[in-house]
Amino acid sequence: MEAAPIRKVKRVIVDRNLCIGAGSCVVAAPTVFELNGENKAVIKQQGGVKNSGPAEREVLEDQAIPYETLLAAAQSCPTKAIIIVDEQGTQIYP
Amino acid sequence: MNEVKYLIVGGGVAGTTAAETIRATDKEGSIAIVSDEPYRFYSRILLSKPNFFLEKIPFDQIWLKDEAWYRQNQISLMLGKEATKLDPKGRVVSLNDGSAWHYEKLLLAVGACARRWSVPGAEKKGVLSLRTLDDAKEVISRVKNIKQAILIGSGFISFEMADMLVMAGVDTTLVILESYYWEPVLDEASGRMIEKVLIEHGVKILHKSEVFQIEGEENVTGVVLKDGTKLPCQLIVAGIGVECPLGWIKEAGVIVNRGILADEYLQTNFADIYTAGDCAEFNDLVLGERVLLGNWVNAQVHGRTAAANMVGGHQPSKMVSFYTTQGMGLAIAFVGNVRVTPDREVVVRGTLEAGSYGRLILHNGKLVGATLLNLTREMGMLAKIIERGADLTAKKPFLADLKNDLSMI
Repeated sequence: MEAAPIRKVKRVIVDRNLCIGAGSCVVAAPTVFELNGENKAVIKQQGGVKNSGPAEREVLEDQAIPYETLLAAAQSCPTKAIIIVDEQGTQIYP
Repeated sequence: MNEVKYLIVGGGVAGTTAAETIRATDKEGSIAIVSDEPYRFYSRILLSKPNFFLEKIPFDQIWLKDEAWYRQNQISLMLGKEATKLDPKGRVVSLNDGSAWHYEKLLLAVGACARRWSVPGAEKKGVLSLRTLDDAKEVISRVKNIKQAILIGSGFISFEMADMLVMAGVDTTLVILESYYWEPVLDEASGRMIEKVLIEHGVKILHKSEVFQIEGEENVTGVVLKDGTKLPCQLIVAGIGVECPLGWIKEAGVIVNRGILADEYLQTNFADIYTAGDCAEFNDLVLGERVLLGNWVNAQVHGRTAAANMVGGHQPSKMVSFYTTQGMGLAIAFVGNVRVTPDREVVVRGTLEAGSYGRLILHNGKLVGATLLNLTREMGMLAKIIERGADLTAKKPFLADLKNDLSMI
């Protein structure tokens, strides 16, 4: 069996309607996510921009965030509110 | 006798996260999860959220792992079964179906149960707590056809239920023993701020009140309070706290207090028995005390930590725990340890007029916790300050002023 190709994250999105502010993503990837004043997860981007995205990989404040950490953050969400899209434009999660 | 390398009692977030973490390291070792509920892993935290009840979030969003996930990861899931006996010397757990399981490592992730409400009539249909998916299904089916509801207790559950019932157009009355919401966890100012939004949204609040008896034949039709007041209702949700079901665990000689006692590695007094989640009363290295925490992120981190140690690691559980909710235009967040004991001091940050009101709780000059109303944006920074553990005695005036940036501390 061939090894699965290494996938790269292209885009991160938080679905504000699903987010309940549990903060699992903040624990799993604190350099990418934080909760805003309305208890919603926001994505930390360059230039101090913080919103629910869509945020492209290259605008994230933490450029070195590993793929596995971002995916783990999304998978830890109790409402599946974090959407991860890969370079082929395929939704990896959920 | 059945043999399993890793036996996990509890199929919630702590137990399931542990199974997932074990499998990432030990690809071969057998894993079994025992759950007393009839469902695979679901989002318990979603159960009390208004958008879930009102079906703005699709019901199927509740399932966090599909059946294929258990199969692919070779995790056997035993549903609807209760552990009844533990023999820690022989390393055997017995279940209520008569089967016995010999383990190498055991994880007790049994969670907490809703505290039993002992009022006469509490067994009637429509009188619920909100702990399991079955409870939530019952509330969802009832809320569509009722006029009046009563909520018991002041805390996260009642706040979220009130928000949901108001949105559903149900006439809602909150019956609380206390003289203000969330007494004595919050101060009166915070409690009144929460009450203000509840009242503005049409919720009636009865303070220093207690239900004497629940009326109705099969279904609840109303309550009589201790002062004689009669209130009609077709639904009661009692958010009166939780307790840990530890009988069989205690009988086995595992040391328990309010929860199962564990060190910072989540190891109990038996070297091959670990605990995680809402039932784990563990040594919190950040807070420097033994605590029992009931929240999603804590259970998740516990599941990861216990698993890492069960597969041979030596990793302490270290995080500043938090819980948030929001509704009716108000964001509530608790971070760290929010208990105000006599040896602790509270610095109020912000004002009611400003619409943002926080209480920073200091112990020997160090920040140990905070309660935040419309101040969640500062929660992450406060968690960092708690973790750092610096002496803030001289910074109290700075902390009190909302205009001051906490990152400058």
